[in-house]
Amino acid sequence: MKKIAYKDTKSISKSMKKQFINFLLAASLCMSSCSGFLEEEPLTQLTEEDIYGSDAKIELLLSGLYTQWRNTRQDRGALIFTLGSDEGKQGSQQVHEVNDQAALDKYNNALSATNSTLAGQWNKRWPIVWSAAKIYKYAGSAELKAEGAFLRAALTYELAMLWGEVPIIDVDQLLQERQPLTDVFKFIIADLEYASANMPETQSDKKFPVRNVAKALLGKVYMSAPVETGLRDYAKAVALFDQVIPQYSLIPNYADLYNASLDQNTSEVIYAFQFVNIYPDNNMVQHHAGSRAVADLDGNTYFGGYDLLLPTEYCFKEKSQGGVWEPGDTRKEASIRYDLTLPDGRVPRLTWTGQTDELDPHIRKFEDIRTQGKQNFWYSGGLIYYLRLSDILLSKAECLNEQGQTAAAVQLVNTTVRSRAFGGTLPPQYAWPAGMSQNDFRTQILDERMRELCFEGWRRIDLIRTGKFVELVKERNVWARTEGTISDFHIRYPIPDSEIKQNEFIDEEDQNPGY
Amino acid sequence: MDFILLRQPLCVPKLLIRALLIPAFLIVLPGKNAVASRNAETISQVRIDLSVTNATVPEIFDLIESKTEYTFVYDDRIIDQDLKISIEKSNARIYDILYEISAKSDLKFKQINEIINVARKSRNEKAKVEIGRDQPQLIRVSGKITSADTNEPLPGVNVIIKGSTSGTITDFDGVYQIDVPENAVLVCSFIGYQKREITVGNQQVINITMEPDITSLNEVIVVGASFKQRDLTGATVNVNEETLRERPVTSINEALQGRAAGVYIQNNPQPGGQTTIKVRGNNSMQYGANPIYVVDGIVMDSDFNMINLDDVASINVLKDASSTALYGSRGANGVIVITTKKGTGGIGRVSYDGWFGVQEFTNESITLGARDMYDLRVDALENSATVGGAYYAQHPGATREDFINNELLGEGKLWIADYEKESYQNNKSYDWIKEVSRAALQQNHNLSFSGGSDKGTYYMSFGYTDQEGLIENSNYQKYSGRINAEQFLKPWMKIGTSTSYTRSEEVLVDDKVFGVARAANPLLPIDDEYLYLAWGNNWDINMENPLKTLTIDRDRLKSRILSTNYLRITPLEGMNIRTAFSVDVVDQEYYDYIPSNIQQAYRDSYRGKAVHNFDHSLNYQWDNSITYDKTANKHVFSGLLSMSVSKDMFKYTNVSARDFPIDDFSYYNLGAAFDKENFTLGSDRRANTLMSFVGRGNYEYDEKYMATVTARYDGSSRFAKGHKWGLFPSVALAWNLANENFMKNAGLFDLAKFRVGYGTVGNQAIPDYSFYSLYNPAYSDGSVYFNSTGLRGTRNLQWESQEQLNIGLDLGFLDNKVQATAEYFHIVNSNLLMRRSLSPLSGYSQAIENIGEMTNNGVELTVNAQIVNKNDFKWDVSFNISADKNEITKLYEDVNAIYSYGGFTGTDIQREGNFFLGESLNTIYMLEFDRIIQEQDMDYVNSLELPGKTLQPGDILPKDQQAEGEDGYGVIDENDRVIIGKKDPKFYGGFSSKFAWRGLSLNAVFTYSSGAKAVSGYYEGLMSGTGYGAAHTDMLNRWTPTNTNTNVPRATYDNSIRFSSGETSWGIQDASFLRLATLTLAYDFPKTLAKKAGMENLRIYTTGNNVFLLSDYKGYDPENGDNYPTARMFVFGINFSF
Repeated sequence: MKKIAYKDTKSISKSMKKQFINFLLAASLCMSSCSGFLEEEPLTQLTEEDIYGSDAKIELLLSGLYTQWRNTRQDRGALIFTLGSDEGKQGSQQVHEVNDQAALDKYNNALSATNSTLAGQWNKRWPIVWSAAKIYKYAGSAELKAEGAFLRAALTYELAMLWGEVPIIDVDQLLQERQPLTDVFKFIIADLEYASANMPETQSDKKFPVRNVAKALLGKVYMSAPVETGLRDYAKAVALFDQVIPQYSLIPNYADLYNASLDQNTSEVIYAFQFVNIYPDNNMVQHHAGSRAVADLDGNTYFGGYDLLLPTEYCFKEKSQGGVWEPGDTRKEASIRYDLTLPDGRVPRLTWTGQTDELDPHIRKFEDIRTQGKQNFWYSGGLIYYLRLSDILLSKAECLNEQGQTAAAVQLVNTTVRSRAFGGTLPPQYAWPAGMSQNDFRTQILDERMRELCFEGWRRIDLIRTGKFVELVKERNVWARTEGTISDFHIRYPIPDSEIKQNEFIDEEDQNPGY
Repeated sequence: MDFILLRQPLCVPKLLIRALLIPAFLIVLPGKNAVASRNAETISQVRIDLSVTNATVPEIFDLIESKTEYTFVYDDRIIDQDLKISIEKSNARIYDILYEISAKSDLKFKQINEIINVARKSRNEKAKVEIGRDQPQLIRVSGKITSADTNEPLPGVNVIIKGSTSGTITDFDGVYQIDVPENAVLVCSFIGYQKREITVGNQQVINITMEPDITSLNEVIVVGASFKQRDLTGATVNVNEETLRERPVTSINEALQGRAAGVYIQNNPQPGGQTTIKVRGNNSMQYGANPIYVVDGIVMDSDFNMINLDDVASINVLKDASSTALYGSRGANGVIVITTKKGTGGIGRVSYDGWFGVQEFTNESITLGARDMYDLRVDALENSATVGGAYYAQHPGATREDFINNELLGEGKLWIADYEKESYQNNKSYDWIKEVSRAALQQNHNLSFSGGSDKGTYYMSFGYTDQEGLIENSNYQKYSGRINAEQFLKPWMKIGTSTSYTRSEEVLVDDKVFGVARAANPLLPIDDEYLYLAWGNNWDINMENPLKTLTIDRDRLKSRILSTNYLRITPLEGMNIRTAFSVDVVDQEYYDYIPSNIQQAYRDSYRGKAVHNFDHSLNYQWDNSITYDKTANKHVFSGLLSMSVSKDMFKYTNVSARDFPIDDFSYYNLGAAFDKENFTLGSDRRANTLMSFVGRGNYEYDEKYMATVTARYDGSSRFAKGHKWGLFPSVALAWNLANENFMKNAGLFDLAKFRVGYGTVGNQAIPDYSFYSLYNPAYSDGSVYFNSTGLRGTRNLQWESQEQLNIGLDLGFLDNKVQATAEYFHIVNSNLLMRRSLSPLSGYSQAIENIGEMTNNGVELTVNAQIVNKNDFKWDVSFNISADKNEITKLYEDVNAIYSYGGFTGTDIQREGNFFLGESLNTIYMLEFDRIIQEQDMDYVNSLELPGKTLQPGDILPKDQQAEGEDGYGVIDENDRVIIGKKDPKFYGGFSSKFAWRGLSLNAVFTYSSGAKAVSGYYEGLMSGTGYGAAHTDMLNRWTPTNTNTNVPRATYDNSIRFSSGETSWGIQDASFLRLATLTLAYDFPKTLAKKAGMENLRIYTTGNNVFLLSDYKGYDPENGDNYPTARMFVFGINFSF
């Protein structure tokens, strides 16, 4: 009879005991080091503590913020605020297809808190404001702090002009409710004053703005602060412009400004958003500004696109036809493409949409000749201007006029911007008369700003600060005119529903009136 | 049963035993009832009358036997046939009679119970009669042990006398012999076979067959330890090998479909596609919503399709806190424990299983053909204000014909393209789907080898799967190999491995092949020359010609090594110390080449683009445990202490290069790319670690009362210091009423187990490093900068916890012919880990936080019944149903809704994915469909304030949710969005039926689901009604002024100024369905016939998968969604072993 073998345990129990102890030892050893075992740190990313812990890293973050700021002008973003203005309107097919976007021109019920096109723009900006505020707070050097202050101010200014009262993002004293515009503008001014005093005077990388950018912007803030804030101050604006103007000069040929094959960082540029033809640094704007009729014929034609934004009739027509242009103004052809014939002679026809405006004049400022025949127009990569000298010259003239110095203002416009527009010599019949009235000047300067700066992103703010918004949009924008619903409250965009729903500090009662 | 008397109760060599089995040497006593009686009287008590004269001894024996219960046992060779004896006695004791015979002969007697053994006296021995009743009698038992499935003898089987330590082992021929006391019970055990207990009774030769144990002694390997399944007090479902074999599919999830209550599976019809699986509905909101898979002890949470289903011995789905407690750190959403096959002892075995199948789309044609499409276009344009409206305004009195001829087909008009006119006139309709799809061939082969001895077992297998995709060119191939081996190095030390290697090779096809083909214009002639396709004259640059898209080379290769290796030592009886080290390595290579001559390349301005992407994931796990089992009388105790650590690491590297001078190299030669500015490089590395300590005790009393208590303490690297650890206890109790005397007497139930479990489980399945606010480097225009990921780190993130209550009842009655399990569960999930979007005014776009609370309640019922169980006819049915309901009971602070934002700018509230207090997690939130506007509704419609819409009769009218007088009445806006319904089914499950008649069996598996709502974006798109896009056949019943009694909106080109089919609940679908998932007809050849072919068993079968589907769902498939149509497969398979 056999016994089951593994019952004999006596002989092995001694060695087992030893092993058992070893096992326990190993287990307890492991336990003692377990706190280390459970530490896993990211190896390919930086934490917030890392980033704000050193100026060197903050500088890399700042560089990222400038890119993010630039990207607010990338793609459709460059054109959204010009929709529903007196210089630009959507193409017919886009109005037909996208109800939510159509509302930006039509000013109908779909222009509401739930309008996601607008919410998208709002959402892009605040995170930049926040990071800029943190840089202002945590950076060691005054220069870096100043750049933080500048960025925060630039974006807050834009937001306040378009949406009205906005929160004030100060890391030390967060005001997350909508703040009175007086406080908001005081805060913007303080930031820009600090930036004007502390930003670097020169930067080798054009992506980084210099002190003059802050000064020029501060000047614009002084002339556009809502009158009721008591902060509008034309004299201060002129003083700032006078510091900036001597350091820049207009280039002779206006059209060269938009020739992407030239170096666009010219003596006239105070600050431009830097783009190239390579993704993700292409501006993609031509894709929205070009003609579908061209695109359908050949996707590698540099003036093709999809008709998101077209010039209004007022903006592309001669004065004689009820438009804005005077004969001989070189800016007309440089700004607007009237001839859609392809370089190889093919003539585009109406596409399947049957929308005739595909063959109407299109915006020319975003064309990038470098892509011709090689790349799709989506790769357009010319610079997009933020502040040019001519804007500052016209702004200064406007301030002079507001201060009663109309003659000086006329003189400034005639001798600089308008002279260059007519090829260097202003024909006398197009020179503004020295005896122009203050009110006339106000009308003329708005047209002049359209001729000089159309589609560069300032038009809505210009209309808002001059109080001409509803009047001129209703008159010149075909969609707004046809719909007939534009009202005074449309001077501001609605606070997005997503903000109201997610932000405990902003409720439905805080919505801009009318929405 | 053999009843054999042996002449010599001596130890004899086995060959001799065989010889003695020859009947010639034996006296068999026919007609005698040989059942032993315990209380037999002795021969000194029994008295008879006996009167014989000159009788032979056997004659006297016969006489006594006829008068008593006694039986004489003797070898007739010892009897002197010539001896004649005369006896004359009345009322005499048998003892005395026998004594007299003994005195007169050379025989002696010994009574053992009813047996009187007759033997020859030794020389000089006096007359002798013994009564052996008072001594314990050892009975010699012998026999042969064979395997039930192969009939081969099993050497090395342990045969032990129950309750003692003595026993023996079978010899090489499977033969044993053992001397046992009366009333002994033999316990036979052998690795890989079910233990058998045999009552010896009066048998002396007992041949025993042993059933192979598919679930390997009911032992389930969990992380770091193993436990016996019968101990379970928790909620589990077991799916065994036999059930798995009934459905020839290649993935575990498909095999589970409809088989397990509380397990909801949605298939993916793509070859090698991953199915989604949920255990007990939704628990976590967003993270770790899927159960984990534990394969032979190693935890894995992805790529489980790479497990070769043919290697799987059993699947256990663990559903409640107590049963998942052993996996606590990752088991919050259920655990699917997969045990692979082990070798069985005995002679080696070779098995082959293979099938071939053909798969086809079943309902791909749900769209309008060319003519109907053309008519729809005409209607849409006529109904458009800007087209028909304008035309009729300019041409008062014009007819429809005028409109068609002058406006639509007029000179220079672009509404209908020339090619469309031609197709229409020639009555042609083009099916682009047919052009890119095919009937796909599938095959699966598996070859396995297994065997073992008393020292160890092995199982080896090789598998091959080749599945063609339903889309041209796509293909999935899988090669796998496995070795599972166990070996006793010493009687107290065992080592084992379970190691597999799998390689899959996929030829992928861009999703747009099918996506564009199904959206293609039936009026557009099929041609592979177009770069992109058109509707009307709109040649759409984003509708790349699917025939050209097919030329993209895209391959994915994956290799996986999954290996668990353990050492187990048994220092004391009942104690096991086990250490196991497991690794799971997955390497994935992904390659892509987009050639230069297709639209994708032209649109993005490159001349060929190649991508290489390498993923590497490594997961290791080290588990150590001590288990102790102790049985004392009716008390059974087992305890476990374990500790485990694991680390999961993931890395990738990718490269993409653009512009190749030629397309010939495909993706192979990156160096041939010349656009050096547009090279992109990427890599990442992330890791997480887990550490756990577990203590568990099981106690059982008299197979009536059972308790399991577990506590685990888990640490995760995904939480910040101070928040890393969580404690998760659980307790489960069970009471088997059937073993109570009062129930036993009633005889109603064979099993009536009542179970209650309560416990907490943790979840930490958030992305790594989520408690940090992180910044990524990015390259732009010559410089590198840092950008926030947008995710705000939450420093105090902690474990999400689930408190789970489970009440279950297991019943078995009618000899266990009917078995039922019912479960109720109530789960409270708190500290839910959730990613929510933030106001951009916070500086970030999102954060992962511990937000809110959710409950989940449900019931599950499973019934298995043998309706007929005759020898040659069997009918088994099984049925399961589950119903669960979840509800969000708390969100953060006083918030009552968290919205999910998406859309083009990420600021539109989505209809799915929002969280509302008091509602299910899976709601659909949107405008409610009110009615199709009729002419008489227009006054009301015109009074409404609409968001930029102009509505006409035949359009969809959303419901104004505010009553007259309420704020918002008369305005259709965001405030009119409501919860339309939920995507959770009211109940779901499966049922199956199996008829077996002799070797033939017919098996059907059904799955069903009821009450779920579904969003079908595809159907909604098909109902846009513009005439410039594919349209569903439902459009034939569209609203027209003469067909007003319909729910289908009118056609119009102006779709953006009305509420489109997807903007209100109009298009929300009922996803209820009943599906015959599998129908299998199989034939098992009779063993004798199989033997002739040299096989142990031989089975052929044919199966239909997805045989039919009943559903009102309008898209492709209520379960699988709309990416691809439902696919049906027919399979022919064979399996055999020898």
